Amino acid sequence: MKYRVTTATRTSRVAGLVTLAVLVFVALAPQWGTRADLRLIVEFCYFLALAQMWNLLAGYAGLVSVGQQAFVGLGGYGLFVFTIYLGVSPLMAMLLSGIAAAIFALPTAFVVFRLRGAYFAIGTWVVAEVYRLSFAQVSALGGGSGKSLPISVIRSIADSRAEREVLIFYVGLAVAVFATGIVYWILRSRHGLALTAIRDSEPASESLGVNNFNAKLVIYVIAAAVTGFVGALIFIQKLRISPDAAFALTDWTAYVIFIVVIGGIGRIEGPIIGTIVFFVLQEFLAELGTWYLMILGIMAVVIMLKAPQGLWGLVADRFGIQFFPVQRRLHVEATRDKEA
Amino acid sequence: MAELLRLDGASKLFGSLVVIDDLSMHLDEGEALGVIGPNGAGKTTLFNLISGGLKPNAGTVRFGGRDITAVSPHRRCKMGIGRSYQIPHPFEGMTVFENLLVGACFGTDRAEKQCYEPCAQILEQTGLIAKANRLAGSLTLLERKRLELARALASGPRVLLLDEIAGGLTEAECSELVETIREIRTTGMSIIWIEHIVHALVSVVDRLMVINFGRLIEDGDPHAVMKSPMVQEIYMGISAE
Repeated sequence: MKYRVTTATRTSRVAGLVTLAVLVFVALAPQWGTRADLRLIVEFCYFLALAQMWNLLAGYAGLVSVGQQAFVGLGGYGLFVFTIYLGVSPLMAMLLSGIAAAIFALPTAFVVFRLRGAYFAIGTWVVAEVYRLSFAQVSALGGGSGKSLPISVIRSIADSRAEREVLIFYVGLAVAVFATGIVYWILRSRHGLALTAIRDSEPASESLGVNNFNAKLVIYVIAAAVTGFVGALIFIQKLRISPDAAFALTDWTAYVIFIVVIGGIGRIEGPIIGTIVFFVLQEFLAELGTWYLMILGIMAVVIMLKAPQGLWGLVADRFGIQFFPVQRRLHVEATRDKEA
Repeated sequence: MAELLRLDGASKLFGSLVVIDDLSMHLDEGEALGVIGPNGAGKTTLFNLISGGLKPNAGTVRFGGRDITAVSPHRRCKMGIGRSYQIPHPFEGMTVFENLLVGACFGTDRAEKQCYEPCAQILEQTGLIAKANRLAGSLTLLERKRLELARALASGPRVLLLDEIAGGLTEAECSELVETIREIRTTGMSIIWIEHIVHALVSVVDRLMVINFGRLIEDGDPHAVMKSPMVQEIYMGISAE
């Protein structure tokens, strides 16, 4: 008997082409879009990247962190430290900020990995607060009131404002594609099998030879690196940083959780759908101020109760489609095909 | 025969409750050992001590001549201890085939592609091949029990720990499963099998162990053990008088 294993499906091939077409269209935005369009797309990109990372943590590794703003903040401050005090070029500084966030993730993991479930969530939050309060003490970085990126550094990104915006736009697009791509790549790898197993049953995965602790640690560090890079991107766009903005629970974690929950946790497509929904809502409801946040909260609660698999989950489960197929399907090629 | 597994003076306490009480036991390579005892006797805890889910408060666990008392569960799996759970723990969001892949990839430390063929063969052997691409969450109880067995086999065990694998099944389903286990036995696989369905157990195992209150009560030939007055009284509830 012959065995063959495939992952791709017909819809996934079509989806691949559609994704590519959309990407090309978006990549040409500097030709067709206004400055405001570019800015909005960069915001979309960094929320998508943050959401992909949070989904990887919570949806697969079972690490429900509410402290990812720690790494956004570390990455953001990393940008300022590397460019202002170490004279590194901005793009290189963004990469180094991601690496720095990953390095900080190790001692952070050492603390929070001792905690389980809800305690883990609270622990990550507390650690993020510790980082926020610590950075507020550093007067060289502007203490509690923050610091602006000096003109010399801004000029070193690119000479004109238009060029800077285009450069930041492409970095944003790249990180969104990278974040989605790395999640997809991890899930299709051997490590992805372990993660999905951990998501479904920790005792069973451990007793089948999976080192749960290491598998989770690797994911925590990868998520920190990408989140840190995104942090640097956010603050190179904003040009000004303060502890409250850098370590903002609402902006960098609460919205991100909303995006993942609405879109569909534990699925690669979830963060994409969630980010689209989030930006559409923001477009129409942002003037409502506090009411906007309440509407987001109510939506999240309703989705969690009525459709815990998220909006994408509703569609995917009904029609059996996967845009990013990670399932391995076994085909038996014998005298007769016994595939179910 | 070479000794594969040994527990020496193992004890496990949950607070002040003694669940395993100074228990010593062994298993030879290629041997099939049955374990019976009333509910709460400590059978599943014994499995947890062997598979590493729990660490004993006293005593040692040796496997293949090595002291593994401090070794973590995933390392023990790689060494060759495969277990199935009494309440099936399928990876519900993964297909049946992927469930086996996890065991094969990590239990034996092989590249994923090298696991495809062995996993497909185990699916054949355990009668799950037709369900290979179904999500594990959609399986019936019998299929879930088969999946527990198949997944443990995929991890390439030297000893298979079966925890009430026939529990909750109908008579017909039970004998089907016993047939599968008997086939696995023909490959020389060592097993330790906890089961309440005694006739199923006795038809397969070489040796039977009875535990009660975490202590070893009887150990020996299955038929002799079942006839012993102490077992009749403790396990079957028949008075020795």
